[in-house]
Amino acid sequence: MKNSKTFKFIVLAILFFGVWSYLKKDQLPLEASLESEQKESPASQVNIQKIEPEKTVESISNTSSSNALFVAQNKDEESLSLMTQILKDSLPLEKESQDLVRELEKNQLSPELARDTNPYTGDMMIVRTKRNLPGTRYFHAQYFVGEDGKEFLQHMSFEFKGGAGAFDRAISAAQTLANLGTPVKKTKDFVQWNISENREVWIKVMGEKDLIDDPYNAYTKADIGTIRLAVEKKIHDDQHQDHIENEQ
Amino acid sequence: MRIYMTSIMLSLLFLNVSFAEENLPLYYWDNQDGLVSAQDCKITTTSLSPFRVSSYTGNNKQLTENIRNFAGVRQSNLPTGSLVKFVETKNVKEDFQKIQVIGNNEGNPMSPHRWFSQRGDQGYLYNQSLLPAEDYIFELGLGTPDIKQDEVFKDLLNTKWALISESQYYKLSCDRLDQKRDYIVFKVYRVHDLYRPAALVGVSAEETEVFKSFSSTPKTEMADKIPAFKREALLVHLIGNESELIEASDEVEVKEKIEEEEVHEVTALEAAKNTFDEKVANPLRAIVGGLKKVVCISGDRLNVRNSSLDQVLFKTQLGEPVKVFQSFNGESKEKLINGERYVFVKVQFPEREESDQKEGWIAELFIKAESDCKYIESKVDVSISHLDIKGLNDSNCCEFPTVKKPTHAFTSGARAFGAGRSGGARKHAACDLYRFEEEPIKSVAPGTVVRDRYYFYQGTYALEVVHSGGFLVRYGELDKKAVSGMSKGRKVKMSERIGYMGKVNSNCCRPMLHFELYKGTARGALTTGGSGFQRRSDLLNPTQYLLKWESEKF
Repeated sequence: MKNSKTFKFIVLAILFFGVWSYLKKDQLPLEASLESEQKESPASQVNIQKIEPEKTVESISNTSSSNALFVAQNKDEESLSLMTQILKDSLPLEKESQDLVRELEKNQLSPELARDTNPYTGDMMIVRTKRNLPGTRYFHAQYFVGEDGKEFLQHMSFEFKGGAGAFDRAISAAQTLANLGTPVKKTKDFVQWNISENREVWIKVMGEKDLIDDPYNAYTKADIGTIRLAVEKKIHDDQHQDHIENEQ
Repeated sequence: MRIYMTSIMLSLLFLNVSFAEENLPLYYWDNQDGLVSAQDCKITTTSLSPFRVSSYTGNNKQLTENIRNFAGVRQSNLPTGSLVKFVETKNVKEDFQKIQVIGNNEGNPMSPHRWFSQRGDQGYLYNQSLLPAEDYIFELGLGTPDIKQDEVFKDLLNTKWALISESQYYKLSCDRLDQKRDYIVFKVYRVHDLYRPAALVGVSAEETEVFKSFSSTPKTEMADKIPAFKREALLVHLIGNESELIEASDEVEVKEKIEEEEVHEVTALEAAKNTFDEKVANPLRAIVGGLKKVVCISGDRLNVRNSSLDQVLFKTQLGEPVKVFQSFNGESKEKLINGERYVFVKVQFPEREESDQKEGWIAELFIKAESDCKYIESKVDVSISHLDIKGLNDSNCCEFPTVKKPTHAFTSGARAFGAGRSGGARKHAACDLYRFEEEPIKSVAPGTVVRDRYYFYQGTYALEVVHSGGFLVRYGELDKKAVSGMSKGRKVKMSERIGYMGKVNSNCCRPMLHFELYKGTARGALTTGGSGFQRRSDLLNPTQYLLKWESEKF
């Protein structure tokens, strides 16, 4: 009798582990899943038609209602698709600044590459583009070069033209094209996803204060409402309750 | 009888001095070009002057007055006798005026401290603490900019400036000056000749760098020492030609004189074009340095044009920082100059004080990364020249980087060094010092900026400084608002303002300084891949140092 209970417990445990493993398979960090995907799909395949519909629908099934499968409606949104795809394709850990430069060249965006170097804090590779696709602009990427000489992406962003519904369209594009799930944070002008333990994606409707003194980009007041999409190396942890919400 | 005799004596003295002051040279001040001759300009009257001098209002005699924000919260201490200008605002505050600091009074006996205002600071000052600038004499100090070349002044150091006011102010008026601006006329005295002015200079509120270093003295005090300041010579005697004084007129036709300038620009265009042709375009070549752009020309000046490219708005010069606008429709324009077609792009001049000279169009060919411009001396090398302290354990090291004690302990919770992140997969590599948004952040020790502001996290920036003794600090999560001139290679003093407290986009946390400390023995970027802290191997726990500096400061 006792052995029978033990047997049942073991069977149930195996079954539970099997189900858990199956579910866990779809929750792999984006970077890990991208690394495996990368071998099958070359970085050059940046066309929206190449997205697998079933997989995309599954990945956004738990997201907000405004984020249906993204299909570009006009030239600006085609640019948004392409830039989002470039951003996604640059995420795998082995990708370096030269890979990104080649990708941008393919799309005739006239990339510029700089090595900001000093003897004390090493190298930071900066990639920007002199040209932009309609509806998007100010592409910017920063790669640090570690002690081992290997580059890794610290920041990448671009801007999408603001306007009615533009924020939702940018969210939809990011969720569809970069396979993002439910955001960890969403307000009327900001949304954030954790794509791994180390990196996050965020989209922000830029306010007047966000535009002042940008070290690279030129703005006027007419640019208020511009949307920035970014992937960044994490610093904080939004689930951490000990960080006190800003009271100002 | 006594009054009558005194009047006669003063009149005689006045006439004598007036005669000597005839035909004074006339200039206007330009931030880029220094003193520029304005002999062809007329002088007209105006009832308004944007310049005021700060004072203190209250029961006790104070040497500073508070600049406040709209809510009335104190932002900084403005030394009395400082020069300010009015700033237009929609947010009118009763009994207060919105002002911007032109320059602190360096003659104020109070020693500068961390709360002192700086040139460019804006805020509200109590009405009664704003005094007429014409009641003061401004003696220019060591930080006065160069005047380029001139015959009247070798330099402007120690020259004395007095705003002319005779129940009205005076301003320059001529075709080549921007008619939207008022160049208010000052009398300027040489160092050793304080009995008569050497020149008249018009200064616009849009271009005030001439007053970035000065000490001010009330005229009443000056008059005790120098009799010339006892009386106000009428302007008509100073310029020696009454007909040049005309009534104010706001409708003056603007004449563009671009034909003559075109020749110089074409020469510069050709030179830069030849340089460009010599280079082999290689898109994968990394420019050594950053990608912040400057004007790169072989000549001195380059025309900045309007959007239709048919008018010259103003001039720019070699090395001036620019930011290129990228419009969403990829707008650029072409212009045929001397048979060559050039692509023009819209740029912003971020360091210009003049609001009407912030934007314009220049040929794209002349915009390069600073380190990629062969006409500019390389700033890639960064050196630490002054070893004022020997390291973190030096008794003189260091000062706490916030202006007041953090609002929450940085030794505990998620703010502490080593606190878990991402469910323990990462560790916090800094101490988070919570304060209030846009509060100044100070350099903990003397040092050199080795990497200027870069995108750090969720709309905040970071700055990397090597401090005397070799240790390194990454000042993270800085606000968008920048401290002017805080760029790579800049030497900083202990407690010098290097940035402002920022707040991340997600609003997850209070405004803070994310303070990372490194021993300075390793090489390579501060952030690394991998696990744990994901920082360079010489990362230090800053807690004990911060606690020591905090207890010493507060």
